[in-house]
Amino acid sequence: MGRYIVRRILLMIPVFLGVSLVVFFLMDLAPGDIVAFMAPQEATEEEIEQLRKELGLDGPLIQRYFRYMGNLLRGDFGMSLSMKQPVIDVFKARFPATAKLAFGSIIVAMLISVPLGIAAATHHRSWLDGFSMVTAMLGVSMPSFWLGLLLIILFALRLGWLPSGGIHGFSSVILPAITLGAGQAGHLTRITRSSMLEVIRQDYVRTARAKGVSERVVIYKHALKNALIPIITIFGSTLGNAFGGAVAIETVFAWPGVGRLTVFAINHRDIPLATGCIMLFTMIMTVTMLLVDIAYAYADPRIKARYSQ
Amino acid sequence: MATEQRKYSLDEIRAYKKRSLAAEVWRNYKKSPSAMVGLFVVLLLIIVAIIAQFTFDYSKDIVQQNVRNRLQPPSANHPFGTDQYGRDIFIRVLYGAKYSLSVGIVSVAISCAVGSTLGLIAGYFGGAVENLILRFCEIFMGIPSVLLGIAIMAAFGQSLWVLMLATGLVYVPMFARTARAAVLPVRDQEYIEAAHVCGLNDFQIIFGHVLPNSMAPIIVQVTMGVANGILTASHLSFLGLGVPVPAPEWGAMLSSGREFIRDYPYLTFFPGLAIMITVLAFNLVGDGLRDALDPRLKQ
Repeated sequence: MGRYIVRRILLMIPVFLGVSLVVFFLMDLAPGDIVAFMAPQEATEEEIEQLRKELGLDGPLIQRYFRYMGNLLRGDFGMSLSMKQPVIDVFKARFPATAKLAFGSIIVAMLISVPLGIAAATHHRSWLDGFSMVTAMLGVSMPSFWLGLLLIILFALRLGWLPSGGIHGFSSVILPAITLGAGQAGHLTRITRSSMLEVIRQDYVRTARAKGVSERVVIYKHALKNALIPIITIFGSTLGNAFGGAVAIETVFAWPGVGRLTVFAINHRDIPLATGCIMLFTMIMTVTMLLVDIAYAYADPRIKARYSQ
Repeated sequence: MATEQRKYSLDEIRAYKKRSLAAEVWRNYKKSPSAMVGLFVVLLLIIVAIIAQFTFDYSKDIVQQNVRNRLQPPSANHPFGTDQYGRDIFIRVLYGAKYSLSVGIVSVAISCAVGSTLGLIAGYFGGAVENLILRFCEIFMGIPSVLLGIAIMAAFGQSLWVLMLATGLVYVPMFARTARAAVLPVRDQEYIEAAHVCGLNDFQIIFGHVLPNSMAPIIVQVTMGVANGILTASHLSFLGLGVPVPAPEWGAMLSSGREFIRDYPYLTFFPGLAIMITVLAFNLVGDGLRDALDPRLKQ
């Protein structure tokens, strides 16, 4: 098990390096000379070069990349040009909001998809099955930002039950979490259904029924545990989708998270902030996925056995 | 007995084989009403996009502002109402079909061509090449797709072509992994060995023998990919990083209608509905195709 964890951590290093290369070079291609733009209008050529040096934005691309990575290893992601603060501080201040939104959306997705998926599988080929599959298909196909706007129109503007944006208290997280969770729920419902269908055809379920165990216990006690394994397996990527989807949802709900921060950074040509945000976002996601996988390997004896040899 | 059997010429066998495979898939596909609805809507959208392209004059009907007509509610004259510049939303939505469809289709062509080739190579050669390609995929999958799209749009500037490229590149790893997984069971088949013995080179084997036998998952991925591509592209446009204004791209229309959401919700309602119907139609076709290509998967 220890070896498995070490191996996974080592494998993350080249991925991180690759991500940093891709992001750094892409951001470097972005048009416009930010330093010249920032400098006061009467600044001379020399003063601009001076400023460039101060910001660590001088020299050829490769040199800048290595300097950036050297700083990054010490936890320094550079200075945000538009906020005049270290990127890491800006990110840290905004991240909890995004984490709240992402986890809220996963809870919503689970609350919708697990019962719906079970109902569809246990009533295979009935109207209930059809209903859940149509709902799931709509959830997958709906642009999340549109759903968000529709919810705002209905619950915030027309009915006035919930706030339409910003972050203040529990009520403000409800609409964004539902919006972000709905798309995820579509995927998860389909997965729950097909995995449940598979499990309830297995011998041990038949045995349980033959023993005279009630249908309720068969489904919720015997079958559900195994049927949920695929959902746990993709928990990591669900979380990743939640983080990615948060970018648009935060914009819709004026949610002060890192998704909106990234869009802001791009729109304001704040390259250090944008680069830092994408890198940190990716790092947090990769590490979370790793933790999920490790926890999962601990929980499932079959996986543990595979790696303990 | 054997002498009485009719001898088939090679050409006849080939023709029979070809016809039967496509016919088989179509026969299975037809059985699903939802798949047929999806196909119908996709065809309808394509026809609408083509007709709109030739019926409406871009500078006059689509982008010309007419302030006297601004923010009219839906009526017989303007079925979806008019926007803040007095432009007819119905016409703009119809005209906008071409952006979503072309972004979806071109981006999938990019990701399928690049991704499937990488996946085929990875699956066929295995070893270090496979490892390298898989690591490469992990890098691109590590970055959330919308963020990667944003970074590409920021790097190359906003235009329809960059939007297609960005959306296409985002989904390259998905195709690579699908294609690789599809190749693995084919790789060790005897007919591949036979092709080697016949002296075919790797290129001929990959595209002549491996690809045709691992096509099914790739085809399904293509249809789903169009749906995903349209969604991702509309995301980028919504964030102001897609097709530049005033083009009637649905995501951008939705985004520009946001400020009027309190009093004029139809500005955001109809473009979003158009995106959803389009994505839904492609997803239905994808589902239908998957069931038709491999009935065993159907549950």
